[in-house]
Amino acid sequence: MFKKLLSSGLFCVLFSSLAFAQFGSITGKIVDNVTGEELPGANVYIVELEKGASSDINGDFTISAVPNGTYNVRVTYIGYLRQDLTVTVSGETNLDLFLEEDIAGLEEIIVTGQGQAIDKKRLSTTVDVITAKDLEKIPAQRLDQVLQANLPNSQVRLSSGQPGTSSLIRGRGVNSALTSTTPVVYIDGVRVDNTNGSNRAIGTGGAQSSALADIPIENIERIEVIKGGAATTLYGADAANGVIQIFTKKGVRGANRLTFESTLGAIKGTEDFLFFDGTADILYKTGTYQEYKLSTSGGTENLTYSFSGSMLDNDGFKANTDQVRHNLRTTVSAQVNDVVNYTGSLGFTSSEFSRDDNANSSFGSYSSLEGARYGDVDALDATAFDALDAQITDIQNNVDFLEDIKRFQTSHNLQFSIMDGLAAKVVVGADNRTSRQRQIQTNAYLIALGAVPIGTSDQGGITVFEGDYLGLTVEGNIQYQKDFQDISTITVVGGQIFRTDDRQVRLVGSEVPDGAKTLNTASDVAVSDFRRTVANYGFFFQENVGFKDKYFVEFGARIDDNTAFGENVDPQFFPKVGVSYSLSSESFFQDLVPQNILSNVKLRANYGAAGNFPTPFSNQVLANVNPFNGGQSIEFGTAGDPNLKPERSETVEFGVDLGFWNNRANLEFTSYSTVTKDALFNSNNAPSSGLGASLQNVGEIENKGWELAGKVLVLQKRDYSLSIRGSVNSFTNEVTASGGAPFSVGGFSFLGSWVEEGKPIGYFRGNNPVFDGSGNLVEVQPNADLGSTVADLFGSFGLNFNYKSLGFNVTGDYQSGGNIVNTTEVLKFIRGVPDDRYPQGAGSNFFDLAGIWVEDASYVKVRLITLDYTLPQEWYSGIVRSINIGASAVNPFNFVANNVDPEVSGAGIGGQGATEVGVGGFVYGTESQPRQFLGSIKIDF
Amino acid sequence: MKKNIILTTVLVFSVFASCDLIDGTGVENPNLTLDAARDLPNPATAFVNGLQEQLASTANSCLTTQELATDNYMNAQTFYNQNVDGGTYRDIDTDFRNCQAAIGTLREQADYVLTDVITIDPVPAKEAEAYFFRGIASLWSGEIFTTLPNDAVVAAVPPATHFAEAIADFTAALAIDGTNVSYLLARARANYDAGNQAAAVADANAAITADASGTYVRYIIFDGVDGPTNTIQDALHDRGGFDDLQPLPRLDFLDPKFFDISGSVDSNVPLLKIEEAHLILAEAEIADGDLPGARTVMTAVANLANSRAKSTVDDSGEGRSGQGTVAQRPDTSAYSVRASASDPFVDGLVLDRVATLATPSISATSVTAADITAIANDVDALTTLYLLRQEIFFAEGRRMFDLGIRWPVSEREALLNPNIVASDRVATVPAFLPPISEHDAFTDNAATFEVTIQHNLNRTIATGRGNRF
Repeated sequence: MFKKLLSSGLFCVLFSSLAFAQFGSITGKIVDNVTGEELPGANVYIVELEKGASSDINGDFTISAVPNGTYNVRVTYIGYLRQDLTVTVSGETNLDLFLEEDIAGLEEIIVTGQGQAIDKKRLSTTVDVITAKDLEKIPAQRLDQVLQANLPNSQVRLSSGQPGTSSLIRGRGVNSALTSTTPVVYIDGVRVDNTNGSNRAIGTGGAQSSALADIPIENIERIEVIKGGAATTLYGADAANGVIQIFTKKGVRGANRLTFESTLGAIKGTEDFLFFDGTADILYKTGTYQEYKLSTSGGTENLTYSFSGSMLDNDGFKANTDQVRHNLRTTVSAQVNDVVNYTGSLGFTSSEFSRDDNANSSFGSYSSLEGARYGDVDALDATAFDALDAQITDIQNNVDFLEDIKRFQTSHNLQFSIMDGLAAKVVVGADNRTSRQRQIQTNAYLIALGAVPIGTSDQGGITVFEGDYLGLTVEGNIQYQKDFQDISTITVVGGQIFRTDDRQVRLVGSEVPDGAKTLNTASDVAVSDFRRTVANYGFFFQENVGFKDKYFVEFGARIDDNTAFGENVDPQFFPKVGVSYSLSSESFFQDLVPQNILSNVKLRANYGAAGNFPTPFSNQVLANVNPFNGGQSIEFGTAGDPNLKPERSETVEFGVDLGFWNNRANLEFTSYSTVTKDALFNSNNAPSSGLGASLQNVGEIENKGWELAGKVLVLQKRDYSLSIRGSVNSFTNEVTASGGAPFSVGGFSFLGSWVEEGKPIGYFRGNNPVFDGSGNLVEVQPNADLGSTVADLFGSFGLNFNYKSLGFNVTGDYQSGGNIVNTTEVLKFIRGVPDDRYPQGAGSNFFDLAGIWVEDASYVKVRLITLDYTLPQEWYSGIVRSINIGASAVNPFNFVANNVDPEVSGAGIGGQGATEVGVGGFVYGTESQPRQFLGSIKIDF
Repeated sequence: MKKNIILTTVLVFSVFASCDLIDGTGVENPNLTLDAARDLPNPATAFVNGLQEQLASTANSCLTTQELATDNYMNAQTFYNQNVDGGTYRDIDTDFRNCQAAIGTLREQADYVLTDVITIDPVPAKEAEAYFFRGIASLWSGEIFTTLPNDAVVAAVPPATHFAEAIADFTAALAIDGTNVSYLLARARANYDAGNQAAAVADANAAITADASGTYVRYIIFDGVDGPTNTIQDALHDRGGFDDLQPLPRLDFLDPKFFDISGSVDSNVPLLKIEEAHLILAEAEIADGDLPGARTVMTAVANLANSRAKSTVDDSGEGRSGQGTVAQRPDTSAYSVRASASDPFVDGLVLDRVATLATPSISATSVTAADITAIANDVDALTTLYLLRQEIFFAEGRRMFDLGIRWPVSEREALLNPNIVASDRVATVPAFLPPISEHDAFTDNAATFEVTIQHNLNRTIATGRGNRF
């Protein structure tokens, strides 16, 4: 009773004081201008009072206790244009806000590569961002698929249609002959495993399992991609290929929201690239696809949370390509007190899939059919076709290859608002990926293949692989912001350490009886293990100075040490410096140029260095100690080099960002030149030295190119909008110093992917046949330059149309020029399938005909078409807040220059482990990405 | 104030004390450095075992391509080397490079064992083996290549220098173990290769004397479980999806010499066997004009070869090509084969590929006592002798040397070793040989089941080059 009296009393006192001072409030709802979607977490700020509020889960906000009067109000929300408006408060004032999407991304806040958050306009570098809104349109199951066709300046190619296999991500050229072009990946500030393949993993002829394919992508808020050079300098010796950072959803205060989403559909092997129609008839089947997702988020003023979990079952487009996956992700954010904010995130992924032999394996059904091992499948009579169908079915029924991946990833972020302008951040996290593979090759399987005679009983085998990757990241930094009249400064100093511990074991049991699934039944078991640990640690600082909010200068550096450096090598210094100038902020510009024509001009230039550290332990002179015939044998191992240091990519770039028609269209152009000095090459041990390939800093690689990306908001009305985007990129790549002899980085003896001075990295080298007018082979040019995987032009495109709550979205990508090697055709040649590119009976030496199989790799692929619709509210009531239905077609259309899919590169990737260059380019008996036709329903509660 | 001091002290102490707990810069290298391996107790045993392993790796790098480079085998439709069949011997050939790199590794590792390991673990038997393996590296350098560096990044030297160095190493091994049959056989072979008749004959006789069983074989040993596994066995038999390498029809009865014995046991490849001593003696007898003596020795070696145990292999899965552009090759015992249009047809050289095929894994020959008795002159004698050598050493990488074909120094060596000159980068193909592309050629009369080989290369050797001595 006393409490009630007290609260009533307090209420009266407050009410009377408010009335006395004539206080009012601002309340309203913030929604998307076109779709009407409620925007939670948008900020409304009264400039004069330095007070504000953020919208809750329904987009509602209230700023109370506002003295009546007229104020400047600023409304901000990531991904939308800032609104500045004047509001007159008189009592309870209603203010509904309609925000417009920020097409140009001018007001984005960038974290990656900056230590802490910084306005994009202050940067001299470019950042590609994929927002939660973009992500909602992408029914992707893996990170590389999310990025595909959604990054304007990078190519993403999935190397096989089999689940969980590797991909090639390539942006600004090929900076290294040591590593793949895959950028390093961070989730909430924690570095995660991004390797394409494992050293001891079981090969299936080309399809390597990839850690990139199972990076937990549940509940993503935003993805930032930076592309090397000055943008990645703060990552030091680890980031020459760029950095991808994923930020997970933290939840928004307000009413809790529960979302259930169900996706069902069909998955079908693409027949666009098949040589024989019969291949599809025999091998392909239409599989089912089902995914269920449950997420919830919400929170109070000081504590927000976001959880999402999903289950997926993908039957596959053929036998032995199915996948089952479970994902969980929770992120919690708490304002501990006025100073400390804690955000913790935990993600878990479990992925299980089966796998078939393919690519460079004579056991692969797809490569055998397409490679004409069974002759011209389409010419078989019904009896022979049925017999072949039965044999392939028998083979597929006996394939037994399972992979099981469990992955935990966690990140803990403490942010300290120490005093005005001074903030600190500590991030600690881990990524733990365990992978188990088990391949059973029974005698029955080998008999079905025809590899061993009927009745064989001693050739069965089990191979087991277990890999355990643990990555740990600790980072701390302090940011200080201080303005001096027209000068604004942001200073960041920090340190970071990450270490990875990669442990792998492979066990091969021989003479395993059919039916047994344990190594205990093997007559012999060979074991090999592998352990690779590396720690990279360094300090960085960065200063960003702005003058009058239009001139910006940034400079900084990172000093890195790494356990893979040779003992004679000191910590490495990576500097950067950049300037940017917002010409359109000048009053003379604004006077001269109408905003509705040219609204934004930003010029930028920078220089920065970043590196790739050497393969761990390759700095030491090692012995190979192996079991051999029951005893121990010791041989020469890695030759070692005490002077081994990171290769160092130094980039100079210039760019201009243009906004047109009040920023309804934007264009970003960047020209860059990167020189990789001290490139780590394997080139310089003569055969007579008795030493195998060993890394040394002897190479130099040059990449020069330009990037052009644009987006146009063609229509922007209250109820509908149409935007299109597109990009064009081009680069040239050349090895300017090889430090020794050319060396092969992939491919085959008859036609390899080589590193040689004066040529692009991984160019195709082999024999080039010359025919006379009558088609007779008159000359073979040895060691000929047969082409390169580097495309003349590449890019992506997209279209987005919204009419009220109906959305239509198309994305795709393309490449013009560049080459691939159609290795499957070599099998056809050997097996005598007619081809008019060479005379029949031209000789059985395909080594001399190598050049014939290098083909144009141009393509245009529409990756995704989606249609989604939010049902009108009158259709439902009660606890249901909204219902959205969608339909999507994944990989619906392919247009290629030749009858081959330039994207798949089973053999090219298969030869490349985690530490080898990934230029791809060898198409060999590998299934392409399948088509998917999916329908979904999403219900918000 | 006092509280603050205590609090600050505790915090500072905690920060410093906890540094160890978050220091992630320590890394453990699980591998042994070469120095640490050498400093292990009794390192000689493991290092010499490493040489044995490297011998297997070297054989894997050379043997298959060596066989393809001759009339023994042709590559109908596999991804093994296709240039050597047609006679294209370029210095860019990666198989040549891999072969010489493996030989280089064998030599340098043996060198290291002799200079760095035996000096701290002086076990005479291991020292003798290290000399033996280094000698084999020199022997192969001389047998396979036009010229080759005999040390890291030095000038390439001719075969005679390699043979001399091999002889010196085998002599050093024999100085430790004077009755070791493999050392005697190896030196006999090196002397034979170098054309030193007297020394070769002396070593051959010494080997025969030392070999009490009369059946001595030393193998290149493979490890079917831990590796290296046997590459030529894959090429000859074990490749499921692809066709295998195809033997010349007259040698069909010797194929497959190597195959998967079981899921965990691979075939070993003979490196040295006592037949070689007899063959050297026979050639010396011919050189000396003693045809009766040569006939006696050849009869003895043919009997020895055919008395060697045979293995049984299920060969029912093996095809004789017949896919696509590749013609069906003779595949039934109904065939008779002649060595050239001027030679008689011989039955029994082509076998039915059956589930219980008896196949020689050490030696066998089609040369009969009657063939030997019929030898009338030196050319006949040498023709028969080189057929014996071809059949007895079948699939062991020896035929190339008998034909006189040698590979060039590789492009990579030339680019990284300034001492290499242009002439080192040229293959050696004797002028007396017909075009190499014809070495595997034959005509197949499927109606009459008769095969005629285009060239009897053993007669070509006999008439073109003549006696080794």
